[in-house]
This record gives sequence, structure tokens and C-alpha cells, in this order.
Amino acid sequence: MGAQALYNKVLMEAPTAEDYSTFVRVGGARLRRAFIAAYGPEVGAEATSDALEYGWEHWDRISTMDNPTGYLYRVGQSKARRYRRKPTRLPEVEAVAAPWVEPGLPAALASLSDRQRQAIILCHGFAWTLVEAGEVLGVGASTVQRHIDRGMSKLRAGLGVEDEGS
Amino acid sequence: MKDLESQIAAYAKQLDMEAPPLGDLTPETDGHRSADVVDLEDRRATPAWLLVGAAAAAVALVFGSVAVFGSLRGDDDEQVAATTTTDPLTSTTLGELPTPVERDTPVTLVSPIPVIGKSVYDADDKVKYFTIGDIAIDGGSFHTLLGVEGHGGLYHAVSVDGSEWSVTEPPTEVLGLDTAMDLRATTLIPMPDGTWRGYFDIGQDLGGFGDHRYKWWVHLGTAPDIEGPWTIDPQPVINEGSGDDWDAGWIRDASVIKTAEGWVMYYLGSQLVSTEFNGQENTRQVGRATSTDGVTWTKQPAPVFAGDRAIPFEDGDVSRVEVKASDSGLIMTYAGRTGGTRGIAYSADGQDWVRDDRNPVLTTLEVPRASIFDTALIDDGGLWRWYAAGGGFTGIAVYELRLDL
Repeated sequence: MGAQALYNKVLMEAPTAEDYSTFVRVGGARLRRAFIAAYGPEVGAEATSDALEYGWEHWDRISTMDNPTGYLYRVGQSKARRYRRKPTRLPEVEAVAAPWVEPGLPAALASLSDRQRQAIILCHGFAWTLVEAGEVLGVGASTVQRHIDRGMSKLRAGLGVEDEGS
Repeated sequence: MKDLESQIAAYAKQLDMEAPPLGDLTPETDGHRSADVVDLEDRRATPAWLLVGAAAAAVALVFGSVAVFGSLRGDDDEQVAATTTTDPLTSTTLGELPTPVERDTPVTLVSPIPVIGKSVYDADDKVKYFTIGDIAIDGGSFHTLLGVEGHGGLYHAVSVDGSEWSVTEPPTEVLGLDTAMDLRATTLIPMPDGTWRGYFDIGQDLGGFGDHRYKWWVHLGTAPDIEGPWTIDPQPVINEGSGDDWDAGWIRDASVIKTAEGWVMYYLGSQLVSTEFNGQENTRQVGRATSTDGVTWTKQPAPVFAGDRAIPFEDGDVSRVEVKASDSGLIMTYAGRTGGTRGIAYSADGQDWVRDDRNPVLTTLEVPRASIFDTALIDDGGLWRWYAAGGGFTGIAVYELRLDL
């Protein structure tokens, strides 16, 4: 099939709005949590909103991608630059709801790299699999694992928590 | 105190609760859509779908507001036109490359229409991915060989102008490989006697726990014609290191350059046998070897280029390397640890390399695909053509780019 024919095939298989609604239910929810993990609730929500808007505007093209969620994650990541504060700030722990959570956890999480924080919150916090996290972040499962390992070591060191088995 | 993982889970739940629900994350609708995008909205004007499905209620908020904006648009075209110029993030027109941010990069996409699309299916009708090989100019035409995952075959693709490509069917015959392996022509050289020489990556999945473990070898191939048959030497043309050598794991991505003084090879070496894909705590670096005949090689003991931990896309690692010669020196294209984004570096002598300060110069912001796999660069008489294989809908599609150096 030539390039033009290939392109025509894409046009003939133009996605519908219903496709996008289906995508948002799953992919949008994943984007929201991925951005929350990266930037916290406020900036994460803004990034999600921007990414979903961009996704709708360009859905014809994005829907043909193997990993539209991963692509829109990149879009939201770019757009989040205008909202981001450095360093990342995360809300304090609600002591009433979770009194057993170390109060220093938000600051410790914020001190990690974006990728380490995302990998840890997505996989340990939201119980995503390594593959699921990797698909959104655009990296392999083993990379996610590596970020988790490094990030958890930093967290344990920062919070004075001993490694398992030690 | 509960374990750290449980604390993270509880805190993540708090973060999730503090963020607005998905349904509230509606896009802004006042002046953030370009005229072309609104035209798309007109073509999509199917309000009924907004009402379909209670499960889509959250999404309906998004589209509902978009539809309202669309209905108001006709009364205020001027306003739409004015707003499209103020927000570079949304000024993309249909059929053009999405550019969420304005980037300082020397790379531009020639066309959003892929120049090579190839679908190959296995016995279960599952699409198999192909990879673009090196591109060589011979007889006034551009040539490359497309390798197919686990196929062991090569498809010859040819173009007279670098933009309109045709893929030859059936795949060319490949001799010397007794099993189906991943095969990629990383260097193609037309020889003075009319024959062709190629340096091929041959990859094999070694299995293993967790990530598949790949090992790679560089083999020499020869052919009477670019269309084959290609005969692959069963022995690697250059061996990986041993013991604690920096390239003791595997070698791949051989870029071979024929000069008046002899042959030079730049290659990617790995200290560990590990997955080719992301993530192993692995160190891949670029090595250099020389030869008088292109067959027997002498490696320099130390690598000439390594990833930088301080550069985010590199993350202390290098992958997918290609080196080309130009009149003014050498240019290297390379990926970092995650394998997609590309940077470029320059060298006058092949030993000392200087990164382009615009790195990464190629990302998925330049290529309308979710991922970038292999790339191929060629100097077309001073015009740098760069081809990027992006993950697509029917396997991989190859896009043509320009590198304006």
C-alpha cells in the first residue's frame, strides 16, 4: 500500500465523537491521575483539562496513534509548564483522615524527580501496574520500576524509614 | 506506623479527592480553538451523541461546552480569527503537525503524510513492525532496506526524490540466517564494483525473567545488488568486549564510514546483556573502531560518547545511534535512555563530540505519532533528509523530516 493509499485509509476510518467519549472515560481518567501524581491536584487538573481539550481538537489524528493517552500526556506535560511551580508543592497530609501517614511525606515526595514521584504514586498509590504506568509516561515497565526503586530509596532515607528486612 | 507503601496509597487517595473530578475538567471554550478546528467541529456536528449514554456524562460536559462555542462561532468569526493568533498552543491547522509548544529545533516535518507505510502480518493476523534501515544514494535513487520484527527478511524501498517511495514485493532473499531474527541494515554502502555491502544488527530475544532480554550482534552482509539476495556472514564482524569492558554485553547500531584513509565504525555498546528497550540500569555508550578493509576491525579501548545524567532525555544513557559524515565533519543522531527523543552531536575528529544546544531536536512534537523508533539520516548534496519511523496504526509509518544545520 502506498503512502497516499495509507493516508486515505486513515481518512476513511475517521474516528467519531463517540470514540472520543470512550477514550476519555478510560484514557482521560488515567491522564488525570498521571498529572495529579506529577504536579499535585491543582496543576494536575489544569494539565488534564488542557490535554483533553487538545485531544478533542486533534482527535482525528491522535486517534490513529498506538498510544493516544501517552501522546496526550506529552501534550499536557508541555502545557503544564505555564502552571507549574518549582519546586513542586503538594498539599499537607490530612491528619484526621490518615493520622498514621507521616506528615513529612508530601515534602519528601515533592523532593523526588517528577518521574520518580509519578511512578511511585501511580503504582503504589493508585495500584497501577508497571506496564500501565509506562504506557502513559512513554517509558518501559522496567524504567518505571527503576524510578520506583530509586524514589523509594530516597523516600526512606528522607523519612528515616528503614528498608524492608533491615 | 504503617509501611511506606500504605502511607503513599492513603496520601494518593487524598490527592485524588482534592483534584476536581474528570467531568469538571472541561476545556476552555472562549477563544481557544482555531478556525480550522472549528470547521472540524462543524463536520462533527452531531449533537445527539452528546446525549448518548449516561456513562458519558462527564465527557458530555466537555463536548457540550464545545458545541455551544461552535454554535456561537458563526456570529463572531473575527473574534475567532483574533484569538487564534494569540495562543500558539492551539493554532495548529488540520493536516498539519501538532505543535503544542514552539520549540527551537532545526527539525521540521516535510509532510504529515508518511512516505513509507508497510503492513506485514503474522499467521494470527497480528501486525508486525518493520524498521527502516540506513539510506544510501546510488544511481540517482535513494535506497533502504526495511527489516521486519522476527522475520529475517528485508524489503527493498526505493525513491527517486526521497519523498515518493515504493516498496518491492516480495521481500529480498536473505542467506546465512538459520532462524527468524530481528534484522536491520544500519549501514548500506554501494561498492565501486556495483555490489553492495551492508552492516546489519541482528537481535535475538534470550528470554529471561521480567523484561525480555535482547542481545545484539553486528554482521557483515554482501549482495550483488541492493535488491539481493543478501548473504549475511554467520560470524559477527566485530565482537563485544569481555569481562568488565564497557561493551561486554552487546554491540549494535554500526555506522560505517568509508574514507580515503580506511574504514571507521561508530557503534553502540552495552555493558550488560539486557533489554534493548527502556529501563535496565544499563550504560550504553558509543564506541569507535577502525579497519583497513571494513572486515577486520580494531576497537578503541574507551568509548567516545556517553549519555549525561544531567540531560533529562539522555538520563545518562545513549541508544539508537547513527553517525554520518559531511563536508564539515561528523554528525551523530542519538536517543537517550527512553529511546524515542533524539539529540544530535557534532565532531571534527570522531573523538570529541559537542552536543547541539537545541537538544532534544526531535520528539513526538515533530512527528505525528506517539513514538519514534528508528531514524535514518542522509546528506543529499547538502540537504539533510531525516526519516523517522513512528509507531502508527498499521505497524510503523516513516515520515520525512529536514534537519537544517
